[in-house]
Amino acid sequence: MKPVQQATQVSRARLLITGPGEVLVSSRATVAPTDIIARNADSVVHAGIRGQVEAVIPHRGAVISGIATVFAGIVGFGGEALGPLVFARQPATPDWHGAVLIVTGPLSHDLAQTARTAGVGGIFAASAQPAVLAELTGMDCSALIDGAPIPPDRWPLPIVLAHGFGTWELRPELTQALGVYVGQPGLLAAPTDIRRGQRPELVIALASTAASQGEERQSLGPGTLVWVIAGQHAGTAGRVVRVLVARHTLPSGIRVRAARVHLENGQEVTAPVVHLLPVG
Amino acid sequence: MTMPLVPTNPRLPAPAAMRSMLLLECGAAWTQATLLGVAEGHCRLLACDRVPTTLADVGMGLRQAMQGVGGITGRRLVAQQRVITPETPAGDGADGVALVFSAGGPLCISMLGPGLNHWLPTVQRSLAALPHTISAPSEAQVDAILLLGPGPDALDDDSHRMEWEAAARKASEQAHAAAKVHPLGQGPIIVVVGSPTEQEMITATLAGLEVQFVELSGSAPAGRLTSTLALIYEQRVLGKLAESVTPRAWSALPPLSAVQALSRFARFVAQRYATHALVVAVGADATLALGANPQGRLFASQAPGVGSRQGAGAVLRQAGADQIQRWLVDPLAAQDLENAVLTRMLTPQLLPETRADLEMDLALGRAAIRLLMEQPATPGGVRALPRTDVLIGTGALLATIPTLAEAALVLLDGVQPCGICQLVVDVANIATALGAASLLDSVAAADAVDVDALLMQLGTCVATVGTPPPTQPAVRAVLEYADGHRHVTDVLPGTIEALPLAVGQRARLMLFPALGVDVGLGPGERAFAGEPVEGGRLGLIIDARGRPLELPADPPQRQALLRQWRAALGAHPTEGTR
Repeated sequence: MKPVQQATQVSRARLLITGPGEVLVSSRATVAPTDIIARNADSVVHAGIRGQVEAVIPHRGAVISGIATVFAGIVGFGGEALGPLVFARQPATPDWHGAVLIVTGPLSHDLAQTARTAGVGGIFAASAQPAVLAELTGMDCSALIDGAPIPPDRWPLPIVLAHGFGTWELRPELTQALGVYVGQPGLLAAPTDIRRGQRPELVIALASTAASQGEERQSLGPGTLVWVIAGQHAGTAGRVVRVLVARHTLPSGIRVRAARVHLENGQEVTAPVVHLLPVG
Repeated sequence: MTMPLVPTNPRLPAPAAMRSMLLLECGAAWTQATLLGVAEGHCRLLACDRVPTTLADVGMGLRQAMQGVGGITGRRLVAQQRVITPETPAGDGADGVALVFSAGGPLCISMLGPGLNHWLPTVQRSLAALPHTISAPSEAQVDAILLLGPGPDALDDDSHRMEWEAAARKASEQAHAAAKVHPLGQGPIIVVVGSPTEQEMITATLAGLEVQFVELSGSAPAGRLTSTLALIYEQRVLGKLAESVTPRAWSALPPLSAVQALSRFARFVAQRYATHALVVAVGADATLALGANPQGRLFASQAPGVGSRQGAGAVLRQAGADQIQRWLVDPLAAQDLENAVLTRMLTPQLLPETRADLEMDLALGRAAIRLLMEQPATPGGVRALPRTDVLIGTGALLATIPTLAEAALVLLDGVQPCGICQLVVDVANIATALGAASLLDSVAAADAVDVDALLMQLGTCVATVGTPPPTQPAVRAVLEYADGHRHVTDVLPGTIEALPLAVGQRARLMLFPALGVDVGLGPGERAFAGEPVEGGRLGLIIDARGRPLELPADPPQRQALLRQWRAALGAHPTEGTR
């Protein structure tokens, strides 16, 4: 999946997860992101998306479709949050309360705790060290990825990592794209199931009714802009110089399909094709 | 002594009915399309292509893999989003299509009820063919709750009735609790296993929940439970992945799990070659060991959720960092090891670029196999396989290891076979596909197994058990070649050696173990091959490292030993590559 899909048609099931309740919308109704569409004694569900109710799921919620910009995360922990997007610049300000906090660097323990104290709704960070998350949640990170729930009293906020574990800064393209939506409500959905293809996301509802073309898998060719998503050069961007015709033998001895890539740092490297994500 | 791998009946019973078969395997990390077709009078592997699995839409990956095969063969396989079948006069499409899924993770089952002891053997038989996890790791992942009835006539007994009612209430609470923590609020299906009376009694307790009843009295009870669970697997696990694919529209056969397909392959090999075969597969998210005896009886063990990519976290948690670290030639700090595991979980398509990356993968593979082989023995489990004559390694990890010697070492270190066996690596990674192909056309699949699947015979391996008296070699091995020339080697304890015996070459093998050392016939018993042993790509391997295989606690000493073993088999990326 592309790291950011601008103005795309989305459809999401928005359901009560704390048991059956009352659904407050009807089929084909128009909804705004902050509209409550279902509730029970324990919780409420917001539409999260500006659009139309596609289907009502009795006692549970509804499927909402609309136009949104979607920022894909690599991994997330916890539930979801809906709130205005705010960039994390210390010290905390009152507008952090209920917000989806954008952290453009690695999430530190101190910043996470400050966010919690300030009443932040959820955190969208570039990355985090496993030790930081382990300390915050009191849990082993591999168990978290495998779906072990975090005790809410230990750590209540949903966290989404855009680039995964480590010390990555947010890619400048992402920072720039997110900057456009500051103050607008974003739906941060952290649930991740790596086995069933569910990855976390930050969905920004748009008022527009015209979607850009849907996501199409781009083929790699000379000039394709790519992100290197795995291996030695992970975290960098570059342009494909050429896709090699013959299989390339990596230093490990494995023979793979590969491409020559001119990286943003000026290096030209050979990388396995499956480590390259076309982004434009 | 094992014999060379020669089919018991080299002539196949009937000509293959299908001209071509397209086998689609959607794994947790990789999707592979394999095309079998007739070439030179035999069913052969024509082409295969592998692309990363696109979990958000598995159809995309499947189509890409088919396009890859189409590109290699010049055959058009897909038209209007459907596989062309049967094969057209122009040679497009394929006569048969089979789908195998190992993506999606296991079916997570929670089992409760007063009748556990009574029903357990039936339940175990039913689960053997499905990738499953009993006692799911977290509530959110529970797909099904098996609610076991107390057993025949036990409801007349008040205490059993109360236990049964309590179990039903607990199942109901568990289902609701699971729905609360599931990301989409989806509750598990409750499968009530019992008699009609038991089912009737608890209907009210489970009101409002999705319930399926399986009556386990009468004939073939395991079959009914298996088909119910298979349906739930298809609905809960595969259904989510394949919404856009609708696998049933692609293939006339229901999709198989990798366990089912590999079980068929293991049984086929065992029966066709009249041997005790053990197939070990290390996948991204599951590790399997499927054994079969010459009568076709299956011995299956599986570790779902344990593997080299999504399953790497489970390896780390279950085995511990030291059990991964012990296989690394270059030491890795604990934090780096954890990072390497997490990266693999989140990026399943990662390929090992550097030697260190590869070392990490191989260490995870070894640790995953050990976790499987060290599972408690069960009647139908792989530890009940009386012996291993043929050890076949398959799965993405083993198929991509650049040197055959390293593949052999992963198998030997992980499985730790005793006595004499043939080592085979499924380098094309088609064993699973061939197991599925046997459902379409067993004769053609058999032909392909003979010709293609067992092609990469690494050689015969003799693994010793026991310790010789001090200063003595573990075993003296004598190879007598057809020209009368003899090669004599004394193999020291704690070492591994490859004796020269090339592919196609045969020699008579004589083994003289030291007192207390067993080469498969009992401690100190000498072994003389009645038939010549067959050579392989690695020659004849004498593994005198002992069983269980122990490694020194001292890291430098251990790393030196690992290097020594690898050098002995030529396991360097620049040497002996495929």
